[in-house]
Amino acid sequence: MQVMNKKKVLKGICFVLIFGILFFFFQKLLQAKWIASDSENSASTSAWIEYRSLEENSLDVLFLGTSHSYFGVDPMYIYDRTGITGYVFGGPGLRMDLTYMNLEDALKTQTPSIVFLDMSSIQFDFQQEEAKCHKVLDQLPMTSSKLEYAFNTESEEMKPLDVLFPFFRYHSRWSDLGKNDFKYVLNDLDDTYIRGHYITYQSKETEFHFYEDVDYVLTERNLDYIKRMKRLCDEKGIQLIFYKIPTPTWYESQSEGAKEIAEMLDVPWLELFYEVDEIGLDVKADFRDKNNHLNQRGAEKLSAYLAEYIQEHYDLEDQRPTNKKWNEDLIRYKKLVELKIPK
Amino acid sequence: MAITSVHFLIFLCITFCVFYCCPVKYRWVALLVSSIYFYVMAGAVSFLPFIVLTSGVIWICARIIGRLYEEQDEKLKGSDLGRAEKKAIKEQYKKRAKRVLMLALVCCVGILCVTKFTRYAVRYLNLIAEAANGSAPFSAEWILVPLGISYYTFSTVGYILDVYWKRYTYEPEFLRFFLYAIYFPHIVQGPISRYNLLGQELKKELRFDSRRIVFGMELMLWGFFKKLVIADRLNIFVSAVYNGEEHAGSIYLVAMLFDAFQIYTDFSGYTDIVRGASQIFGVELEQNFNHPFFAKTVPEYWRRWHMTLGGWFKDYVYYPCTISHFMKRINKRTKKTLSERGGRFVTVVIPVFVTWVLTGLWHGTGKTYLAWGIYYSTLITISVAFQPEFEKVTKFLKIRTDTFSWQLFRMLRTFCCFMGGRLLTSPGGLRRTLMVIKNILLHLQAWCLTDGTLFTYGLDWPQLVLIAGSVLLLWGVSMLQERASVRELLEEQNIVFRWAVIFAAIFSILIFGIYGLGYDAAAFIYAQY
Repeated sequence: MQVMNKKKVLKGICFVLIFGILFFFFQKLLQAKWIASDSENSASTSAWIEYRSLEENSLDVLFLGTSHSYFGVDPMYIYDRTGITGYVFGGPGLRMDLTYMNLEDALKTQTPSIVFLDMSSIQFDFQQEEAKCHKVLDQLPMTSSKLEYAFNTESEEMKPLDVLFPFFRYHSRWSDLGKNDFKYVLNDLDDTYIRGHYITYQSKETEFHFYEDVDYVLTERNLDYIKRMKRLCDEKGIQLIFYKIPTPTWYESQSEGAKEIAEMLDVPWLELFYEVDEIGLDVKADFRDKNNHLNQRGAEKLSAYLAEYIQEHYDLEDQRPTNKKWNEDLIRYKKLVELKIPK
Repeated sequence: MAITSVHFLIFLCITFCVFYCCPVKYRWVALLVSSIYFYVMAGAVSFLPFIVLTSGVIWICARIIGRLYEEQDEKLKGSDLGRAEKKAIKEQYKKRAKRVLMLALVCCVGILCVTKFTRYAVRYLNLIAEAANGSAPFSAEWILVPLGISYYTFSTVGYILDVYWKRYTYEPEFLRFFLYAIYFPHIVQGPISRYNLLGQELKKELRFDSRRIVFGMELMLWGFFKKLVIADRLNIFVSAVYNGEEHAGSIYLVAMLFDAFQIYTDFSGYTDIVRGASQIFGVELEQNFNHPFFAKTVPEYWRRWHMTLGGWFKDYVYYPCTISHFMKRINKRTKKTLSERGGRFVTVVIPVFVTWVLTGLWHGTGKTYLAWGIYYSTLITISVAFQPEFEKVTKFLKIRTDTFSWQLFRMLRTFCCFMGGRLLTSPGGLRRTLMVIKNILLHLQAWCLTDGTLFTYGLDWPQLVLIAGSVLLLWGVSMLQERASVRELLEEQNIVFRWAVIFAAIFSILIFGIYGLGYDAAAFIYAQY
């Protein structure tokens, strides 16, 4: 009788295990993917694949924030000028909670010396479009922060189960599966070497001034996640720096708010909104669109400014003479940029 | 809490744990509590008094009737009364029992009628008032239609009639009876269970049996497949066609075909889910479907489709109507005035029409369901009353009736009759039905099936291929089921094959099922009745 029961229990365990394996296989196959080769916007899936392929603890700097970050910061350009290795993790309209989750996971394999946090995210305390959230969430493993996010979501659309298991959200993609979906399951996607950046030479003239001001109040949630990021960085001995990529989608009161938080948490604050001239940004040529994202020309200028800032304030080793991988990637990267330059 | 929701699965898991943790003696109590919880969650707390009232009235009245019969038996037993006296006592008690029965019927069927027909009546009253005064003074918004009212009223009414007809004795415990009425697997959409079957099932010792539990889960999987993969996918097309503007006749023909499969997979899928869920707890629910699309005649079709409803009407409406004094008088009179056959014809027609018009009204109020009832009454009457003529024609045309082709023809003919019935109700009104018929006859536009128009109703070609594959699978499984129990066949196979089938079923549902964001999982069609 006991042998029978043991057999049944063993069978049950095997059944659950096989179910789990199949479930995660199909989840990986079916979940939406933002791949560099077919993405017109940020390729978060490729960004995470590239990030996880980096050698452990090989990064000097990490840039976090919204879409302004991945448009505005070019880590390869910084590396080319200074030999400082960096990576940018941004997401469209990313809220502080999702930014925190990005940082939390990014620090599992890397311990950079500096983390730059773009304060644009303090503008957002509303639920972003579902796809934007999935762009970040689907790349992250199951953590307590993810669980917290899943069960606290205010969106009508986003159900906890969909957040935790994108299978349920994307099961209907079975008729749209393409080559990249299968390659992703087999870990066979073409590797990228853009370090989370997005290269574009699209251009749109913009006017550079603060928006008409609003009464800005920092929400408790945003403050809470900023504090969590500070705590996390402190625990790992990482220097956290708040900065604001120069874009006119910014209010004076928000700038003041960001400064207050920086002072409160004793974090350096780089308000680059006022440094447009010093950076050398040309409002006629260096912006990409009406949302005032920087294009490649603008990104290079900003990255040069940031590189100089880092070199001036921190003593980071120039890795160019020894880092074979980054040097090889840099050559490929330069060719890619070359290709993108409008003829 | 929809049957296809995650909430239901969680509810089922919790109920499962609580149920099997309880001592065997009290397991029925666990079922009662979880059934009440399910009823409140699936409907509303405000629905609860209705089911309590109906089952309370029926239980009390059945108990009174039962006691009256006991008293009568007591009086008759051992006494040296004459035949006439015994007859008088019996008549006296029968009269008293009948009065109690009528009270119960008026009360419970009254609640059913008020909840189901008031809105319809108010609409007509408002139309009349509008024509007279220009305003619609009545409102029926306050009327509640409790979840599963048609199902539990029929189940409980069947019970009291059986007690009245002495088919079995009354249930002495109210809570046991209430569990029979509110038992969660059958409360929303049936099957309409008989007390002598379900009541007894719920009374037996409900012990853990892993084989039965596995069988139950497998049946649920099959039900989920039918509902989520086939029915809800077909619903996308059918809704788009019937809810939209006018379409080509060829598109309507496809919609008619899809609609037939949709309602079958929807309702039989639901039945499989709830029967499977019930099996997990050791309670066998009655079969409600027996592959109706294999039926060769319309009456046979209705013996295979929604069998518990058909059985209910047969036992509690058709037979009592056939053997009533009124029908006997009519039979005698028509035999005299017409002929032997004419008399028989009338005695067939009247009960059939009464039964089918009532069946139509059970499904819904309004002209469409009345027309639906008349449609089936006519078909059944023709097929029964003119059977000799049909046989003569078949003989005259020298048709070999023992061939596969003839049987296939009969199945297709029955299927077309069923589609005709659906055509009366699905398009959403008799006017639209006429419009559909007109377009099929006058604007067929067959090219719509090949020029890509077919794909503009929410289903692209991979989805249509999936539907075709699923329907083929459904047909294959149905053929197997006609011969043997598929679950037993599966049980005999090696574990690798068995598990491969089970995992294929699970992941087919998870991947191809219509659920989640972007899909409004269609409510079960029969839940509205």
